[in-house]
Amino acid sequence: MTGTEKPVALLVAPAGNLAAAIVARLTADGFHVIAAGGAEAHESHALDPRDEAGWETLTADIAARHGKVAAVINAAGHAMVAAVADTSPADFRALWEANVESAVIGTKWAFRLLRDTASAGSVINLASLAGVRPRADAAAWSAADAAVTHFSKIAAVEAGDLVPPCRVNSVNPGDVAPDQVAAAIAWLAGPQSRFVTGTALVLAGEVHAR
Amino acid sequence: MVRPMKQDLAGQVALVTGAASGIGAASAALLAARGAAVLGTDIRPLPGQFGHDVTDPDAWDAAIAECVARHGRLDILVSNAGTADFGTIIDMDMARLRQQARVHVEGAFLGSRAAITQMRRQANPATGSIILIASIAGLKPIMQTTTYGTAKAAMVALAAALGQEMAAAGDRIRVNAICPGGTRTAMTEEAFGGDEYWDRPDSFAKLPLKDYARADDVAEQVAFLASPDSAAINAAQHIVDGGWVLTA
Repeated sequence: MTGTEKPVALLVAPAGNLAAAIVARLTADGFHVIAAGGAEAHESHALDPRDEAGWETLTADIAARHGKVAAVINAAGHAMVAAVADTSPADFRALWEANVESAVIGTKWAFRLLRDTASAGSVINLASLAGVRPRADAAAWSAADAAVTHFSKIAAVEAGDLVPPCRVNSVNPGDVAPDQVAAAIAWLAGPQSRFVTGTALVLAGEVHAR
Repeated sequence: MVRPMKQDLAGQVALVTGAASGIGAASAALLAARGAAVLGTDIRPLPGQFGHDVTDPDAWDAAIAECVARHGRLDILVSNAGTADFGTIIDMDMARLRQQARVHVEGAFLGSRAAITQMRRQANPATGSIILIASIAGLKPIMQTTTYGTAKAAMVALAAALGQEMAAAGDRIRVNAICPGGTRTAMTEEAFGGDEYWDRPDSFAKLPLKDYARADDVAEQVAFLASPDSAAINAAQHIVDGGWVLTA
């Protein structure tokens, strides 16, 4: 890899407006964006975010072709609005798997990719405002995204022992525009935030007094 | 790879207190590099800066007036002026606690109020970004910060309360606090010493990022919170500490 190549960002997300906004912003900021899990970018790869064999193949391919990785963004989770009384164990388990397991497995393979390429990278796990501010109508979602938020802080401590040290943060948006989420992710992906790790970047939008 | 410096603050006007050194100097320089017109103020101003005691309400009126006279408006306030004070409570006297409260809490309070007043003169609903430079000493217990940490905690609370107040009033003025960890500046070198402190193995090598912050790292957080990229971020605290609060 030469100094003129673009920094590489791996985005794991389903197709949609949010993924499109993230890809557009990272591209505008000068990243070569690799998308997996449904999103489309400069390169697009099939990936079940909870399939470790798929992660192993994808990360080996990225390491071989690109050498260094600047950022890995895990954004495979989703929302679920339901009262506690209407949430079945199966619903809860499905959301836990979609949001928490995807972030944990994605962070694990991000760490392996960063370790194997000796990259000083930034891992960004997309959670939600529900993960830091309890929502009465979203018990399972709030609990799962709180787990993603806290897991990201734990992972930030471990990421410091990679060589060179790497960073992990969560982004916790409320009901805000996709370009604002993309701007927050791009900030954490770039060198400007090189000393920011273990934080939850909360995008509450307009904060009203309660 | 060379990326051109974004000019996302073009047309905006910033006032940065404590701009003669450290985080304030780095913030003023970076905001200017991103396109903002910047008035730096300091109690010991450099040439071109405005002499400003942030604990004096009249001095705030004068500083805002100077900013408007030079640059026509005010969009961004970086309330950064501060002093260090460390020691055990048994050796503290009330004068030191009051000095910390005055420069950090009263300085941020008076500055925010003056800035909001000016921003509301400019537009309805008013727009702007107010950034208070607090500290991780305001978030978690750190030895010998009974005065400094107590004052910084009040700044964190002030940012959250003011941010909510602005949104509830219908204004689009965002208020955020930045909590730097150990940052090597003239102020902290005076408090803690030179290389013998900063490079000591038990000082920063045990943090996740194995280092201390530079003033430029905090300035980058300032520039992000000043820019439209953070338009959805309000009433929050932003930690720039290499992971210190996770592990200390």
